[in-house]
Amino acid sequence: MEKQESVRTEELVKIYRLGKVEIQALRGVSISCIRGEVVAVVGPSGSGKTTLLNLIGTLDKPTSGRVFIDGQEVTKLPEKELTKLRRKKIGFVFQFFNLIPVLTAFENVELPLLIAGVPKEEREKRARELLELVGLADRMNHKPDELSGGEQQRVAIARALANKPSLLLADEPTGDLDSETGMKVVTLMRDMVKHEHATAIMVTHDMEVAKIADRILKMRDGKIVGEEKMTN
Amino acid sequence: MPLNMRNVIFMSKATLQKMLGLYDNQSANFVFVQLKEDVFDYNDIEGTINKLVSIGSEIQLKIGLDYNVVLVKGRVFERVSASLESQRIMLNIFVFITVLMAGVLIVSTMLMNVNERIREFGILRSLGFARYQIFLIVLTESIIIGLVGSVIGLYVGIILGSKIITPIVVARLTQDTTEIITISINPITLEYGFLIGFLVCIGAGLFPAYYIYNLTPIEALSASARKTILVEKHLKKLSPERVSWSLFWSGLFIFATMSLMVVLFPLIRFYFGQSIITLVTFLSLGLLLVGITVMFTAILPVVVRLLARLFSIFAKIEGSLAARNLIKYKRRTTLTFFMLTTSIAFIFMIGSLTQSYAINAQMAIRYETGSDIVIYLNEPVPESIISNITAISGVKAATPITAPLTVKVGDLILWKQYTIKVYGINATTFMSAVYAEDAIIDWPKSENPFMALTQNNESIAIATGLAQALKLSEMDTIRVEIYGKSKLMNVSMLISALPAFSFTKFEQKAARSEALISLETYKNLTRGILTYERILVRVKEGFDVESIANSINNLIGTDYDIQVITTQELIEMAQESYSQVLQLFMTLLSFGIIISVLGHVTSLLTTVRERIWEIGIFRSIGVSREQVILIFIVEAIILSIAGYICGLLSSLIVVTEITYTNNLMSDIPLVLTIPIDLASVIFALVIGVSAIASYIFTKKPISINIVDALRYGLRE
Repeated sequence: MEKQESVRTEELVKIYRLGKVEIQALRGVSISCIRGEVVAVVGPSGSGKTTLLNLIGTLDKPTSGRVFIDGQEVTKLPEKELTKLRRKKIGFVFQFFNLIPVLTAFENVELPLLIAGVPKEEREKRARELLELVGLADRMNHKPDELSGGEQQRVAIARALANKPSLLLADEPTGDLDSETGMKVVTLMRDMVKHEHATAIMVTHDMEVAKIADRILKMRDGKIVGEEKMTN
Repeated sequence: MPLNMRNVIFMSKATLQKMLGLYDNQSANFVFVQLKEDVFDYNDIEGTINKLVSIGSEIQLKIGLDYNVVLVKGRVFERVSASLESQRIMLNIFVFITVLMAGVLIVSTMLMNVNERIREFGILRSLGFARYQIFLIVLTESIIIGLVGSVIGLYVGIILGSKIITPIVVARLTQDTTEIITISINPITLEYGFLIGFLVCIGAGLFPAYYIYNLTPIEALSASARKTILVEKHLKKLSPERVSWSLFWSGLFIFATMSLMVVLFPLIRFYFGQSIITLVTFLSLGLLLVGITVMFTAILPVVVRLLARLFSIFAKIEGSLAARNLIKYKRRTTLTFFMLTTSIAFIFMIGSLTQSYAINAQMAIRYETGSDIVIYLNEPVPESIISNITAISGVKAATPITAPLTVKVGDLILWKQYTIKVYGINATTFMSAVYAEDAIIDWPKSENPFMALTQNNESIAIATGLAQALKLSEMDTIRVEIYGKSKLMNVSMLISALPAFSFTKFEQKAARSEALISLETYKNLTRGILTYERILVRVKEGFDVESIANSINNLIGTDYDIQVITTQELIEMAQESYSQVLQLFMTLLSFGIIISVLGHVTSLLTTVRERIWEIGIFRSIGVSREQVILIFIVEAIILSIAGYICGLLSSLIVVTEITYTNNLMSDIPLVLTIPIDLASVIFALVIGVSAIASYIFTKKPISINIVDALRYGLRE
């Protein structure tokens, strides 16, 4: 099977301006990920990991450089197109879960499907299926504050995968979990990504967590300084 | 003379005649009639009085109307009865308070008892006793206590009553008399006493029995389990999704108290000046309304969920999220909702009441004047004037009304009597010259019911209320005293309401009612003198009332001292004054509504600022800016619609209550009106302001960068 490119960045630069001070978060980052690959980005705090993830996820715009998703350049897309792109092709998993507090686990997973206009029956079937896959079949009707951290992150993974995105972006998914739960969650996330044949880019500072990925990208001072292939 | 008549003053026949205002040739003799003792039933004063009246009437018929029958003992009975009635009410209040206290005492005793034995009930439950069996055990205990207590209470009562209280009362009563007085205990009182005691015990046992019924075996056995469940219950109460029952009952209490005030309005109107009346009316109505809006505020989660369900048909995600967020931020939402509901309810209430009173005023004017044109005659006019008026083009009919005769009317012995005004009417033309469509006449539908007055020269039409007060029906005879002479007349018609005259259906207003007789009867009573007081003129449809009034003025106004008034003119004046008041109120209250809606949207804006992180999540999962704005707009609209509906319902409840209370004692009914145009304007105003303001207020926070929005959450 031919290896299909899922994500590519070309010389990404991001400069933040805090008054008169300029902070260069990314200094020309170029990476490429193929479909079905799980990539971990590691590095110390302030190395630009999250900024890179935000730019790939179209949450933010680069100062210069380009981002391609499934071969399409997304850097210059208008806001409406970016919203559609996020809705259909990208799934996010955040460090602090970021679930909608007033919705139940089931409704949180159903939400992206609802926005995408998926019919009711199909929507409910998919949400139920995903929650079963992440092992929360019996916690569907619980609200986020009634779930443990690990359970909330599993709901977040299910939500991120709801619209069958080609790209899953996880920003420190284990940051708010204990190490055992964290390992369980990322393993589940990897399995789910493989199951859905998506690409995952996971930002972490935990090397143990990064080891479950197919490839590890090391960052420092806004640059990729190394790459390591894993044999899982 | 009866032996027991005390303090008799002896005087000469001439002196008595002089005192009574009698002439020398008139007799001032009295005949005392002593009735048999079995006529008097001291336990049934009203029945005894009825018997006395009936005997008196028979005597009156036998001796004729030239003599008066006076029920001396009946008057005494009446006074005693009135005095006893007030004492009876006081005693009943005392008994009620005592019974209530006894009930509370039994409840607390039973509760203490079941609390002490709570483990025992727990063991019984764990042994397999069903909930209802435990319930029955506690209830049976209270029934036994009730039975024993009631029997003992009765015996104590009988002993105390017969051995201690009765001798004291008898001794005091016989201090000034030689008569032997006996006091007996009515057996019905004993039965009632036993029954009340028994029922109070059962009622008081229900609560403790229900308390035990609700406990699970583990709760009954373990104090810590009870505490845990208690804490859980209290925590549940804090949940924003729950209906605030304490608030609901508070609202109901305010509503009930103020409803009582509304019932007491006529009393306040009777005793106090206009400023106090206005103050009390506004305060009472305001609090009455607030009571209901508080109740609606208490059930806000239910209202919001219902509306959200409705909205979900069109916008599932927006409706569902809006409802949940409104409930989540209930503390803030509650106050806004209350303000909005109350201001909307106020404006509806004022609008509806003003419109109702405006219609009522029109009706009152029609009742007052009685026809399209009223000609008040300040000097006598010839009878031919009527036919001259009728000949004017556009005049449908004209009818004369005589000057009133002040007469005393009553039953046969004038046991009950009223002084009223009697008018003579032309029975043939009257019907077509008055607003007959507004009349309420207890008479079979026929072409002209007033012709009944012409059956003979002793026919009279009286108010339904007067007939009730005198215990008369149609075709009965009524005693009429005019110019010092009594005669019996035939009640040929009963009228509840009739334009141009004061008729009533209320017994209490009988004294202010009027009566009608035919012109022939009038002449008989006045020995042939016929004086007209006014002429009623009805105009044909399509003709201008004002120009006909001018024609009448031109025709007779130059020769006679008359005053011509048109109903239309009076109604227009009333309408103008009402519409001015309404406009003033509406302007003031519209500002109130706009301020409430803006307050609601401002609180929404605060919520938006707090929820920027949530906006970030929405945006990151692909929700467009427009959709996020829509979520907030729907939220604002749902709360506004909830406020609108609850405000409308609150005002309807109050207006219905006011209308109903007013109609209890009013001959001209207040018609409940819902100002549809006002309702539509307010709806548009509320929804429009909410939608526009929420759009403007949320647009800026929504445009924040997604990454910043998500970081905002981390800062929080």
